[in-house]
Amino acid sequence: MLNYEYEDMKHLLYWPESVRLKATRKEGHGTMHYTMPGIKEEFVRSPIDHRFQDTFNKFFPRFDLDLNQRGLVWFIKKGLFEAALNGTSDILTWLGQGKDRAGRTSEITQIGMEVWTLRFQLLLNLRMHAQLLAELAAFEELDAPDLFYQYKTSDKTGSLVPFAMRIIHAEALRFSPFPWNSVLRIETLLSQVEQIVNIFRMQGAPLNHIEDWEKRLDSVKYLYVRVLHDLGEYKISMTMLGKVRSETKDPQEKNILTRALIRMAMQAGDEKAMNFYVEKASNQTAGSNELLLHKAMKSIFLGSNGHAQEYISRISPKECQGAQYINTKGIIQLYTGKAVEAVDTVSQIKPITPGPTTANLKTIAELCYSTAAKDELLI
Amino acid sequence: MAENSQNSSAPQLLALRVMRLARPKFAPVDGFTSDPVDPTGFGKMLADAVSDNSKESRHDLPIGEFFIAPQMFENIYLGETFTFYVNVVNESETKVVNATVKCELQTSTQRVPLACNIQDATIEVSKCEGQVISHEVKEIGQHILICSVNYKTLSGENMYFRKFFKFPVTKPIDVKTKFYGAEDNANQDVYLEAQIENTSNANMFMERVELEPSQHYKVFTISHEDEFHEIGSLLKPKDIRQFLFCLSPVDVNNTLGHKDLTSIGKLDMSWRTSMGEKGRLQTSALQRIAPGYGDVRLSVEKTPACGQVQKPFQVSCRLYNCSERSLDLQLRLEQPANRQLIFCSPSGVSLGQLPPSQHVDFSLDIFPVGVGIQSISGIRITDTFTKRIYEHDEIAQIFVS
Repeated sequence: MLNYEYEDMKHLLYWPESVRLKATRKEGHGTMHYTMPGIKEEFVRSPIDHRFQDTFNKFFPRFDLDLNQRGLVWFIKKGLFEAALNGTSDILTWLGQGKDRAGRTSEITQIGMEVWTLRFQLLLNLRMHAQLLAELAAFEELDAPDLFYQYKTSDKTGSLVPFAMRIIHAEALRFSPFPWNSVLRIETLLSQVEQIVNIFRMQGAPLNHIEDWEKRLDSVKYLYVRVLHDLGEYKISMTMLGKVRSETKDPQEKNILTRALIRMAMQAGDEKAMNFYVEKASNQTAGSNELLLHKAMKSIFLGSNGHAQEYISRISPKECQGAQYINTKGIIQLYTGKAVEAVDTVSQIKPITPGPTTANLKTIAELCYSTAAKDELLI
Repeated sequence: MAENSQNSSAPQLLALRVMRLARPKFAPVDGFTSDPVDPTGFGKMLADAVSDNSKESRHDLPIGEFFIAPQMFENIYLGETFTFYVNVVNESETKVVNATVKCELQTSTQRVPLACNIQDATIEVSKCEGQVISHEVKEIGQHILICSVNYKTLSGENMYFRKFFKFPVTKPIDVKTKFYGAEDNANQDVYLEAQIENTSNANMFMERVELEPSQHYKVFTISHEDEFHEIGSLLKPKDIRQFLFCLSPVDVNNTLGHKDLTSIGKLDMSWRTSMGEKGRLQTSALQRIAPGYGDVRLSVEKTPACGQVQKPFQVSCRLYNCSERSLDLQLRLEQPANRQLIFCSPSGVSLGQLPPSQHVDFSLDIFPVGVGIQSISGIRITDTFTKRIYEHDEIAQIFVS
């Protein structure tokens, strides 16, 4: 929760002192405000479905952290990210960092920083990239002195910047006019986290603390791979994810990464890499449903839809009811000339929510259903 | 596809639907990386909510798990296979009989009938009949897919309509070739440099770039190791990659046949684009202007690379008659001006009558007097009939120490 105890999470809040913090005089600590965030007023408040407006009002009548948090949890679990975003707007307003407050002094607190982080995560998921970049700008390079506990109090050390904010801060430039700058920030973050893992190891920190930071290191590596891939750097992203895969000790994670590498190779059209990782996957999980599914995908890649059909039929529907299996089966039926069966298959995926399966349902129904039948299906 | 229908006057009971079946892609995923040990727990909660919504299990990896059927008619390129799903749907309240679909592909030069097995089908209300059809695209320019539908209503009325789907086909790659003749008195090798440019707007993995040599050549591909061993040979849009081939004549003694050596062979290229969409192209026969040897060609068959000063060595030569008449030839040796190598063999020797396309062997004894790299020059062949002299200088080098 937003108001966790510092002592419980101390190792997760560790961060080496920045050059800016070191440059400040000890006697001046706590007197200056460097970070002055605020909600950007030029963006219109996100609309909330009118059915949930009363609920929203119930959870966000005033600043009441417990009640407000329950509201955030409720809306996020329902997938109503716009409402949760508006909830963060209200909380930040009550904390003195609302509209018109950017560039004005306010107190930087752990709760405030966590609310900002949640807000940025919501903005990212709502694809509100311009607003994300505008509001994130107030946090500069996340190295201001007032973003460290020790700037305000002598009994606490570490950073007030949640790690999730560092991740978003590194990725956000991908949506700016200079997307490659995102790579620079990610590289910096990667080296900082590596440095922390090394510090913890050298200091003989408890194993679970080291593991926590190793998990964070892996998440930054995934971020790096994802951003490079989105920037069109196929070879480097494949090589990097391949390296992470070979280094990972968790067999389940290794399988997931192997299959992701297979799909990345397929998407790119790289038969050599696809075969390389299919072989690796076969050694790891021969005969598993996931592997059969990927072998069916490989057959589609090779233009052998008959073999794809054969692979998918080896998976027992009783064992595998996942949307991915059903969707792949439907696509194979389409490519083998069975469009009507494909619609029947894909329509088993419930609920019908915006996404690839619904797009497939519409596309295939458009091909083989009469207009009336299609309308009835999609209601 | 641009669509243009030409209905008969009566309202149609059947609807024709055509969908290009380019390979399915993986649906794009909105990337989201959360803190795996987030003290607040909101990161995981958000990641779970995102996954519930999208049905993707992971949002921190660059690729999703769900195939998505083609949502638009993507570019199609020469050498690729055009695959489409043609379907007739009964939109009426009565069944139709004898439904037949005929598909043809009209290009700028020809009209190609495509095999379609929807013949004399009975289509019930709201039902359909369809088929997947594939055709390898072998021409560039505007293509028109013409689908004609014939059927009968229950009242026996013959119905007919056609639909046209236009789409352009462009060149996916541009090939530039250069020849480097390495022929000298020692070999007749030719090097071919092929520059392949990706002119499409998609990433391309070159799976095969091979030179299929003509019958007169054997080929060796000169390739380098890729930087990433487990990854294919990627060619991004507008990227150019060079390939080098060394061609050696099958018959190194071919003399008159050099005229046949103008035909080098064909470049055969195959590639894959996203999701394994395959393409293949072959160039027309590559031609080069064969070097003119004149009437005679001198080949050095054997010569030492190194020798010692003041120790004689021998050079074996072969002389080909490349003309179309018999030649009466005489060997004359001119001592070079710098006098580093001195011929010890007699000059003015007759090599006899040499019929066309035949050769004669002779050897030269040489005495080196100077150290360093020395060139063998000064061999003169005289055609006694025409009195024409063929001069052969610097036919080989030897390092004298």
